[in-house]
Amino acid sequence: MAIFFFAASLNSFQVQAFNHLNHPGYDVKSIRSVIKGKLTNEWGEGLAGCTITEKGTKNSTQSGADGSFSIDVQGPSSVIVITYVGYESQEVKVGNLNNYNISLVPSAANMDQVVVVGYSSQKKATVTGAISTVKGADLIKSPVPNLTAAVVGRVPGLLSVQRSGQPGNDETTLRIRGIGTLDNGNAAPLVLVDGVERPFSRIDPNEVESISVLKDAASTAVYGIRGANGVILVTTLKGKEGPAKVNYSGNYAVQVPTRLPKFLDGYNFSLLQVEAQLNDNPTVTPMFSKAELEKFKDGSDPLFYPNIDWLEFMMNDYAPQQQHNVNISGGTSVAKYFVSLGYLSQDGLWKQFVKEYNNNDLYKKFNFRSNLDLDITKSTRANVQIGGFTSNRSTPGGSPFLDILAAATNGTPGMWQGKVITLARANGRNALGALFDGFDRYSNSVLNLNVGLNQKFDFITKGLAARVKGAYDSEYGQSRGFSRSFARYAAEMVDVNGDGVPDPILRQSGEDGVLNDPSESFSRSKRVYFEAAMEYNNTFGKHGLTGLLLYTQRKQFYHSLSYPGIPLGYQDFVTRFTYNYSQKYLVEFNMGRNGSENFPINSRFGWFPAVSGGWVVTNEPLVKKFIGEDVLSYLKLRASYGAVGNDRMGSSRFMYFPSEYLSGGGAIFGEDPVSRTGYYEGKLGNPNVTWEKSLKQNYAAEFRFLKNKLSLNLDYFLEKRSNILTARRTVPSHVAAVLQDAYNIGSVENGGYEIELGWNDKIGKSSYWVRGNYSFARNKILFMDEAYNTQFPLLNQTGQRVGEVFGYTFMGFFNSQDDINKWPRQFNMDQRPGDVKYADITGDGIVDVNDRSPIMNPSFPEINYGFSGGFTIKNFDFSFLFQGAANMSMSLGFNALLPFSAYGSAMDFIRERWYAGSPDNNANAKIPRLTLNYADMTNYYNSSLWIRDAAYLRLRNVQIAYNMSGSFLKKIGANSMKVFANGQNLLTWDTLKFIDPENIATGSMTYPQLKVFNFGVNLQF
Amino acid sequence: MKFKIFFSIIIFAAIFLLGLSSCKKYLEMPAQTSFNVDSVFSRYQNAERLLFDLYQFQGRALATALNGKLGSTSVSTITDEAICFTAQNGYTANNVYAGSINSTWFTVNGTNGEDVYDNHWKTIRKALILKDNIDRVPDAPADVKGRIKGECAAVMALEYFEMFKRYGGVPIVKKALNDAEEFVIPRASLDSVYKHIISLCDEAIANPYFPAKVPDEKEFGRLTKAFAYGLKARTMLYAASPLFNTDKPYQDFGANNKLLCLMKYDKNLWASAAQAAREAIAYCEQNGYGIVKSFGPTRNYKVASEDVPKAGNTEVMYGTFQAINQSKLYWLGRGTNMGGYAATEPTQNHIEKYQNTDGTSVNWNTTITTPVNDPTAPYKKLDPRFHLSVAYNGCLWVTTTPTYNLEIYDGVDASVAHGRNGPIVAKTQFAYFTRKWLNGFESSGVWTPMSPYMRLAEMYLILAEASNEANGPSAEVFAALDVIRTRSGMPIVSKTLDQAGLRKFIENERSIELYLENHRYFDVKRLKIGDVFKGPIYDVRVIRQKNSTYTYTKYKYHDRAWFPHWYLHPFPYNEVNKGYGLVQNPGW
Repeated sequence: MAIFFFAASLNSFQVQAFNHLNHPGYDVKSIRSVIKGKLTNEWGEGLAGCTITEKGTKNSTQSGADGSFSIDVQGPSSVIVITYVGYESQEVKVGNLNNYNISLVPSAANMDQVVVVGYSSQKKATVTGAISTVKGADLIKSPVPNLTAAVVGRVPGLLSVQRSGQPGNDETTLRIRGIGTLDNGNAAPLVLVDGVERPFSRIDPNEVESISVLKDAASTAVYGIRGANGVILVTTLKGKEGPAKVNYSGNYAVQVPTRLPKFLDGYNFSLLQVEAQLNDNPTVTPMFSKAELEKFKDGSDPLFYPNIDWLEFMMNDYAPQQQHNVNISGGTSVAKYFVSLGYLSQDGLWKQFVKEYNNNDLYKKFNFRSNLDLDITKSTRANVQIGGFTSNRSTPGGSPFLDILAAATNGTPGMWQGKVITLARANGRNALGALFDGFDRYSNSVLNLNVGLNQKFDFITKGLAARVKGAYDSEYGQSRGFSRSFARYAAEMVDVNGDGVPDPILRQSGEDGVLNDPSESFSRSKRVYFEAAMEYNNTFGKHGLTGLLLYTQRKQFYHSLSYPGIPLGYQDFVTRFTYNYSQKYLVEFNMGRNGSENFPINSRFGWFPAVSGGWVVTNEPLVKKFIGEDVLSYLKLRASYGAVGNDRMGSSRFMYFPSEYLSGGGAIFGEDPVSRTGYYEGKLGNPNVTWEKSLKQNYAAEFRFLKNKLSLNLDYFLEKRSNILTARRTVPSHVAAVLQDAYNIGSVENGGYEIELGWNDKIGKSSYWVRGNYSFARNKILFMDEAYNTQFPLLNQTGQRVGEVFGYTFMGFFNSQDDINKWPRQFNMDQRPGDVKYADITGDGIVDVNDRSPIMNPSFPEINYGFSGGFTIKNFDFSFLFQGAANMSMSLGFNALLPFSAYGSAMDFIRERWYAGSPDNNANAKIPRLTLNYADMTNYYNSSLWIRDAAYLRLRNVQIAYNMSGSFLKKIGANSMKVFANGQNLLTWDTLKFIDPENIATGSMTYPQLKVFNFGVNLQF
Repeated sequence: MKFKIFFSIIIFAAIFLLGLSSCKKYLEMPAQTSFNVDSVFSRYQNAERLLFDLYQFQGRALATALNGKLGSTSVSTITDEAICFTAQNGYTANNVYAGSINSTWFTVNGTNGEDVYDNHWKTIRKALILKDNIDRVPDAPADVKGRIKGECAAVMALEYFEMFKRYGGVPIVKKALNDAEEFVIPRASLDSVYKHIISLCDEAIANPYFPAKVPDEKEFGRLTKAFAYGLKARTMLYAASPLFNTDKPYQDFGANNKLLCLMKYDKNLWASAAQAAREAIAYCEQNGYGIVKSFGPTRNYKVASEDVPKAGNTEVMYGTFQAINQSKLYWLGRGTNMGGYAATEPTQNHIEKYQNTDGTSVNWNTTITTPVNDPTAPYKKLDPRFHLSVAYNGCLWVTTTPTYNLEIYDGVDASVAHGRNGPIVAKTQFAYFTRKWLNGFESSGVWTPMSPYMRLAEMYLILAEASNEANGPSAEVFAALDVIRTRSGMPIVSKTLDQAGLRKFIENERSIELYLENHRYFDVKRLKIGDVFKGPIYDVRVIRQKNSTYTYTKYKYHDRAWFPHWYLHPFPYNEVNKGYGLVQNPGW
């Protein structure tokens, strides 16, 4: 049925569009004229989807993605009317102008704008909760393959970190107003796409109308039991009334790593290896003689004295990326449609060494979406939304970064005569193996379907309506691992011909195999969602009243070994009442009654009420009179208070069940001993487990000054989370039961503020704008049932931040034995010059485990800020976005920390090590004396030496666009055409220097973040 | 049109109501299908597997890599019996030597400490659940269920004893705790813990279904009534010993003194201990146990401490296997034929405890020079138990062809080659290796040693000690000691010894007979002679001279730390920090 409607309407509009485009001579004979122009908002940004109507006719069109439009009108005497939700409608006399660049003025101080809120939408003027919105048009500017990265820096209150740039595996971790619970993993916001809980990272930005970020209790109470971490609402584009518009955008980009670690070259590696060896034992013969070291330096014997730069050898300088999207939208008063097809292809950075198959990182994705609205009767509207994607991701079979970290740069020339070579000193290590060892392939397909029915009941009472919605999602994933064996060759010196002179030979080990049958695994899941609601919206004179009553239920079916065939379920009852007096005094009441199957029947459902209010000060006649709109154009004060919940506890379910008995344990019995497996008692159920309870306050002021040119928003929030699901850590050992991980005992306080400042103006005909946002969120653990150390309170997590790093305080290096003798004894070990000196925090004369304390910052940022701006001059648009994060740190580990360990690599920065005979007496040493054996790890304990400030500022995004005009457009038959260049992560400022500040500097070092240089074109027909 | 509206309202209402009506049970789970306590006790086959798991943490006599005490050395290494390779940081015995025991590791879950406090309670919980529920099993006869109850009582007695000797008074838990309200239990007085152990032993002894011996050799490793008798005697011996049997604990702890001692000296406790030992010996010998005597003086001790019952060991009252085909590198010296980690090496202090078979002692206080090419001369006449326990320079190590003699010596100068296991050549550190439990395993890479937890020989030693303390020297005391000595070819004890002399002699005899069986550390403590731990610890330097004689020179290797507060273990630091009121032992 839906498809039929869809096809029929599409068909009819295609015909219209076709007629329109193929009769260019149509207006030649008449006196009609074509006018072209561009519509912009108060920020100078193009406004898409404005309706341009020739006054007194049915002739109308809509502006394109960049705000440009063209319309045939009767002649100079015609008047065009421009309307757009949230803006004053404007009438413009056509006159004899050719170019109509029109800036729309926000209506009622931009307050008729509609904001998507939970289960509904509201006029911005009446919103009393803390909600930030980012438009699809902004997201498109970021040429990133993962939508989660596009919102970073654009929304106040959103903190983020992206650990990896690997194609298809590059999700940004988003946290709304930081972390309010005891575990970052349980602090993820709830994400809904078109009202249904779904991930949004793989949505094509061209399909997105807006993203709303709901931050306080007033806006998330309707999500109740899962609202405490904030909610992200993604709304996809819908068709608008008007002729069919075909939009094409194509992008081609090159991706370059933002930063790669630098390793010591073969010579310096060997040199420092000798130094380390002599540090460990000054009497041994150095592993390389002077002459040998020279060979590393001059490259005279590249087989046996190699110098390999792994990153250069294995990586290309850049990798291509392409994105294309075609969408068609339009509609009549009866049916509206938006149909979109997208394609993304992203290549990885690895060079291709194997001919038979591609084992680079690859990501390819097809997106599609079809949103259809049908008016069945005047009061009945149906909508069908189908969206989804299918993707393929490949990764090399091995782990190249891990192997690079684990392979010395003097251990192999990499390839020699087309063969993978290793030397004895590398113990068989060759990072190239990762690119020979087959590949893994992951395919995913996701189908999301929403079907809705809206019925107005105006005939019963004005403003009453009801709706039902059903959704069905299906996901299917397949992963296959293809591996194969390959020949390696050990280069050795052997006297082959018996002349007493050794000759180089390559001794083969292993065979070049063929790809084996893949190991294969599948995952599938489906979601079934149902929603039914009654809505009421009416005004009586100065009194505005709305109401919402809603019921939803959701089941997710997925395959899991622990809970086979038991779907995950949620159930919600929601109410909302809003009242405003003259849009001046605003009151809102939201409440969810939500249930989560995670909890036992008596504690399954909770009430989550929130109240909020607002006062539009500038609507007071007195204020208007005495201050005047020219100075203070707008001021709204708002506050909210309410309760929300969180039911997450990792993937644990049914924590209230009594303990299970599991197979395991046991002992050995018999004179001829035999192992007998036992049964043991599993985790003791927690019959009272229930949700985390969050009480949130939000206080805000929204200012507009100087005729709306200057805007300032201030938000202050405070959250107190109690009942946090966490492990009981003070249960006496003599209880001896294994307790559930989740008891409602934790308590965390989280507070902070957001500031947004904006300015927009015009210089002559060019408009420009700048905007900035700054967010700060800090939490404090109030209670976590910790075995509290009263003797050494600095060791406790209670009172600190979530994820606080504990370590020793670095006090420099011991420069002499005398230094050591004067210092407290450390860890009961003998220290040597060049070892790390730690602070004796407890002052008890020895340095031991009790001398740890919180150091630096947790790894997730507390501060996130964005600064953006742009201007339009004639046909040029320019915009930029700086984004930064602060109060975050990175702990170094593995080969970043332990050079040479286990035949591994060494980073270049270890040149700044402590060493005997340093000319400046090691005044600038940053690394302890080198060692090869790591028998004594005390230098490498977690300390302020090994934790680094990872604060950064990035030039996240720059876009420069040119809007074509004139005859060229006509020639290609387009309404508008825009060519643009943009870039992502173009510049990064930080203090870390050797690795991207969002990356991970441990053995699991990830694929680097990417800098993207993108070129694209946007055509509208 | 009106029809359409009407129609859509109907549809609407129908869908709405459908959704709402289905919601009541929407979040209800399907009936629990998991395997819970009811399922376990619905069949004996399942319940029996709980019984297997009850023994998960048993088998403590040997501390090899597997049960990983003190970083895989034996507890003996923190006594004068043995020492570990001191350059290996991972052997935490080195920390003990240096005086740095602390409660963050010594009794905490992990492999570095001497004890894992948690594990005692885990076993006790298992026993409580099993004992309370076993009667629910429908398909097992009363004797099978009864026997399991006896085992549960015995295993709890064992666990409380293991805590009693280490921590003093501990909480007494009488049921599996599931409600948070019941979690907090304070430390019981030492006296109540002692009585609780005795009552658990008595319960097991009174159990008519609890067998004296395991009826089937496949059940070797399960507790028996003989063990319950033995544990009762052992517990009473500990209670009667000076550490506990006093009104003044090793360190004054004010109102908490009752957690550390019995609050009075009661000489009768020695008599009770002697009586318990008599009963244990009598019960065992009536039920097929006996001192191993039939393999000859050079082998009896090996059979008694290393072999399984079917190989002739009638002496083992409780023994376990910790692992099957386990690497024995942690038991071997670094210079043996297989290499090894030298985790537990005998000290010269221990060697000096052995007498010659004629009752004389070797004088180690001067350098001993052997005849030409006779490296084993000083050891030749020593107690056969020495030869079964210790490997030394020149001893025949691998007895099967090709045979292998240990060469733990250095050449006097460059003209005399070092022995192949010499300290310089093979980096052995000390002159002795452990032999006990390796007899017969010298040439294989893996082993499956039987760890005796309790042997009848110990009962005789308890009887001798307790009887001597209760009534002074008596025929009973001498007879009990002679039983142990004569079966290993040693002369009977001189009747001239007085009570104090016998006390010393018995301590020495326990150290020899129960070498490496985890007694020495706690014997020294209960006897309150902790200064023994200070050392000095001796080794012997072996030099091959140019004339092919060997010189043995005793030298002091080191002194060790000992503090009075070490008499009892610290509760884990974290356990005290939990804040429920667990009183830490003094000094920690």
